[in-house]
This record gives sequence, structure tokens and C-alpha cells, in this order.
Amino acid sequence: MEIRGVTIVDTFAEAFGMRGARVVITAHTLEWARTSALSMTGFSTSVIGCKVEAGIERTLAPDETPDGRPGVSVLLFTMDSASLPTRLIERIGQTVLTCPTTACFDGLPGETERLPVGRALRVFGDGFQSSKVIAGLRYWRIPVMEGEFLVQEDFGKVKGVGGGNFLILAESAEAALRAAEGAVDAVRELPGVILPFPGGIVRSGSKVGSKRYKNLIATTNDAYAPTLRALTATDLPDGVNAVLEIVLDGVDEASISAAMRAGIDAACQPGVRAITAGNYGGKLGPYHFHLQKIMRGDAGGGS
Amino acid sequence: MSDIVTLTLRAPLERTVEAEAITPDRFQALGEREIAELPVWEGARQLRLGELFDVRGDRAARVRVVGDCSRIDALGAGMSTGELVIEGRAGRYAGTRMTGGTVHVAGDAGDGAGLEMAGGVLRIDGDAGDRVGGARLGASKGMLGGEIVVRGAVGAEAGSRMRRGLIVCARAGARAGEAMIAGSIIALGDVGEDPGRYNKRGSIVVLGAVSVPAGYAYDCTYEPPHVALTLRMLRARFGVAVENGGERGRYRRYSGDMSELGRGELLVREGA
Repeated sequence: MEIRGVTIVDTFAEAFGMRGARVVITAHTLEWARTSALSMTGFSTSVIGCKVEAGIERTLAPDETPDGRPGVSVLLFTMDSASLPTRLIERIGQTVLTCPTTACFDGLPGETERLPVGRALRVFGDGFQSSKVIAGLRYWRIPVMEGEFLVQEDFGKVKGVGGGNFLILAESAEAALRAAEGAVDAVRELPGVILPFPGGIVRSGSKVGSKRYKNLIATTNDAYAPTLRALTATDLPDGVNAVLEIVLDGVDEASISAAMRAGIDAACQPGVRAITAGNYGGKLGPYHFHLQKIMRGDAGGGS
Repeated sequence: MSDIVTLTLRAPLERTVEAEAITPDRFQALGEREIAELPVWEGARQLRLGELFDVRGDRAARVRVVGDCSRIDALGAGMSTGELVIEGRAGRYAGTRMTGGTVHVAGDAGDGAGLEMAGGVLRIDGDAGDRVGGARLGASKGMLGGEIVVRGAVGAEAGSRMRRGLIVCARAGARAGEAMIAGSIIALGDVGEDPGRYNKRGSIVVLGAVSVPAGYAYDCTYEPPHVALTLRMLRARFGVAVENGGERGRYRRYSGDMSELGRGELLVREGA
């Protein structure tokens, strides 16, 4: 398959189950909501090193938020259920509670499994906190120097998908970056999905384990490293001199598929030779996103 | 089985009748004839519901009452589910002790509306009498949960000794929130004298004029986030619109009653 002269390799991205939450941050202005969200999603690129993967899902107009102020929705994912509430408490406590004018709401009201995040954070109020039940939902009012921080008592937990990906194989680093930026722009405001890496782009794709260091769980993806073309079993076609990867986490398979479709299409630009994906032979991750199926629009492309 | 049970008052009442039997909970399990046989009380005299009302429909959790019911007490008392619509005035104790479902009074309601209610929604399109959402005389707790939305004014002692829940009204009479334990009262307009006396942890929000009682101490002027959230919810769910500046605004916060815990609050909209 080719799109505008770019080869779409007949392969699939292999993804894993994760546990996720959607946090809605509102503030007096969109800038302050974004400031808080950027702090919350800082250093959250990969569970390998950051314990959580997080990103801004999209901006929210005032009529989309619970309190009628501008807001930002953030998705956070962990590999297991037990650590998700801990990460939420840490991140909301350090980056939303602390940020001027913000309030914090659950963005997954339909999920039955609830995490008592606001309930844990309330003790910052040192006994001066109080709660209100509004339309059946409990909110904690935590007194702070600026006034009050309002946080919802509990947050929904969703079974999400992490590690959706595609690789952009380009003739030059400039062409790879231009195509990757286009892909990020196409995905940025799509619902239900985040790109947790810096600017949404990864240059240091990894393979599982190490050929040399036994204690490492991930090392450089030498098969796609152009400087190692002559030294390793390369997967790089002739003429490819740079590869960038887009990694996606989402609340479900459909969100990942839709985002991959939009991103791959946008990445098919001059100077790009091929789009491929990372997988482990289908043996590790239960979610397989077949690139050609996705681009044909066949049943979401997942399996 | 019908979609709705309709009770139409046969003639205006000369004496007060207590009609706790009129709840969707009961009606959804009964046929038309059984509903008509339910007891109502005129003082110590027992009457059949069918003597006062023409009954149409059966086994439905939606009930419509047509006619001037200003002499009928305890409509929807203790109901836990379903919908009761009173297409006119209601007597005393409408929705008292209800735990769920919706009562909608299209006109005025008498004293004790929502007295000691624990859940559900009570909507009153007109005015309501004294002790809305409050406690029975001598009882330790008033409202324990749910929402009461009164489009008009409420009388004295609204929310007295309430423990949880929300009362919203256009204006409130004297001694609103007396001995409140917790919960919220929101008056979109003025509030009468001595609000929140002996208030422990309750919130009284006033968007109109109010005289701050001696037991309250000024804290600050700020934008309380929970008020905007509540007002926005009221507009979305009940069509309650806030005039004069909308849902967001600055409030003077007073803590009180200092003769109690002092953990209650009186929030007075700035510029009111």
C-alpha cells in the first residue's frame, strides 16, 4: 500500500492494556489550566522511567466543563490498577492543587470503578476542609492561601490501551521531523488519546531488553538506528537516514485506531519513504493495530 | 397497566385531609379500584381516596393530581421512587420524609414541604410555607439529603436543623438555616432576619440582601468555586437562572455561628 508515494508496511503495532483516568482541570483562564496540565504531564513519557504516561488530551471550552470555566482534559495511564490512584494523588496534589485558580474534576463519570483521589487530597486542609454534594457528586473544598481548591471526591478508572505506535522512515532528519510534526498536529485534539512523549514524538525507540547489559529492560532500537546500519541486523530500507516514532495511549482501541489513521495520513509527506510500526511478533501485547487495515478503514484496524 | 395514574379532585375540600397514601410507590403495585380504596384521613375520620378523587389509571410510577390540593397534606410523604405531579397548590408536608423520586408542585405549597426528606427532588413552582426542608418540632435533624427547588419565596425557618442536602429559593423568610448541622441553602434573592442561628457546618448563600447576624465573623471576599458549580447545575437541571451577573461572582464570606462550632458559612454576593 502506498499513500502519496509513501509505503505503508504490512505490519502492526503491538499494544498493551493499561489503566487510565481522565482529569479535567479548569482555571480562571485557559492559560492557567494549560499551565497546570503541562506541569501534571511533565516527566510522564513512559512507565519505564516515569511510572505513569500522561498527556493533554484536548482543551475544553467553558460550556464543556463542570464549572463553566475554560479547561484542559488530561489522560494518565499506568500499567496496573494499584498504582493509578497513587500517581493521581501525587500529580494532582503537586501540580493542580498548587496552581493558581484551578479546580479539578473527574472526566470519566460513566466509569463504575472509582478512585478516591479527592478524598485522599482533602487532608491537606488540615481539618478545615469541607465537602459539598452537588447533583449527587461529592466535592472537597480545601482552603488555600488564594481561596479554595475544589476537587472531586473520586475519579473513574478505565481499562485503556498503551503503546499504539507508528514509525516514520524518512530520507533526512528534517523530513522525519516535519512529517512527525504534521502527525502530531493531526492527532492533538482527537478525543480519547494522548501522545505522551516530548512534543508527541520519540526519537529513541526501544527494543525489549539488551544485547549486552542483562539488567536493562529496554535499550536502543538498533534495527532502526541509521548509524548502526552496517553493524546490526537493520530494518532500514535504502535511502532512509532518520526515523521518528509516534507513541499513542488511549481510552480504547477505537481511539487509538482513529488517531493512528489521522497521524499516518498526515505523516505521508515528501521525503518520507515508509511508515511502519513496532511489535514483538504479536506474542506480548493483546492489541494489534494493523497499519494497512487502519488506513483502509477496515473495522478500526485493531485485533 | 397504564403509563400514569391521574387523580382528579371531585370537589373543593372544606376540611384538611391527610393523604399519605398518594405516592407513586404504592400506586405502581395497585389496580384502579385498589387505589380508590386507599385510606385518607379527615381528622379522625377515615375516608376512601375514591370519595375525594376520580381515579384513572393503574400500576404506574407516574402520578398526576389535578385540582386545588391546598387542603391536602402529606402528598408524596415518604415516597422513594417515581414521579408525583401536583398540578396546582399543595397542602402542608408535601414530600415530607421522601427518600427518592420527584415531587413537582406546580403552584404553592404549605408549611413543612420536604420536612425531613432524605433524598429525591422536590420542585415547587410557587411559594412555600415555613420550615421547608426543616425538622419536626422537637426533632433533632431536618433534611438528610435530596434537593428542594422553590421558584418563589419560602417562609420562616427553611432548612432548620438540616443535616445534608440543598434548598434553593427565590427569597427566604426569617431564621433560615436555624441550627443547621450541614447542607446548603441558596437564596437567589433576599433573606429575612437572623439566618444561620446556631449553624454548625451549613452553608447559606445569599444573592440578595441580608443582615449578617452577630454570631458571624467576616473572613474574606472571594469567588467560592462550589457556588458557581452549584448554580450551573441548577440552571442545567432545573432551569433556575441567576440574574445580576450570572453564576460566577464574588462573595463576602462570614464564618459562624460562633456560639456553635463556627464551621458554618454565610456567603453574601458582592454588590447585593
